[in-house]
Amino acid sequence: MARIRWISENEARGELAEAYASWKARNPGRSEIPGILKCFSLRPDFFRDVVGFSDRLHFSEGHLTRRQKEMIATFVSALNQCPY
Amino acid sequence: MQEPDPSLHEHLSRADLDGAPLSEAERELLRLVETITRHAYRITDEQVDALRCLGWTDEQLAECVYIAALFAFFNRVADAFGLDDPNYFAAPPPRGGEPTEPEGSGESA
Repeated sequence: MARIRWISENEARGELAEAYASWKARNPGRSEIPGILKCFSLRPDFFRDVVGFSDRLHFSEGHLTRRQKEMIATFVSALNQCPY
Repeated sequence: MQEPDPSLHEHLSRADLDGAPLSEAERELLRLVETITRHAYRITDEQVDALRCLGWTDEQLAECVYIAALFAFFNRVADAFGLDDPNYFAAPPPRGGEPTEPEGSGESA
């Protein structure tokens, strides 16, 4: 459990349960919802927004390649001293 | 997630931009990312113009800003919630103080 409450997969109901289910359907390789996404579970509407824009922006080729985006993500996280 | 080559990942995970095996264009783009991440108010027209001269389009520069800001957003949420380290980094960045110098002067205070 994180420092601020989040809703686990088996506790999820209604809109959040649907949002978790649709994330898992789109990420068949993953067995559970990543912790970072569960941080948004107290606002299921925002959870959907976050999943939506990060899929479209980050997890796709765009003006930059996926490799370049991964480099930026790794470097930012290191600068922010955030291992997650 | 598509992994850049290991030694590049290693260097970037330690915020070691100068030691990383990068083209000049990519190194300077990541220098913009560093400025965005540390003190975005210091970004200058010259810095952006220099990146255009290195071949980056405004579309690419805009997307670079979005991705840098997006991961600052995720970093802050993850830290605020106290997520523990899922070992994405071979050597996780040190906590507290500035990232250590490339020669790895050990844990900074």
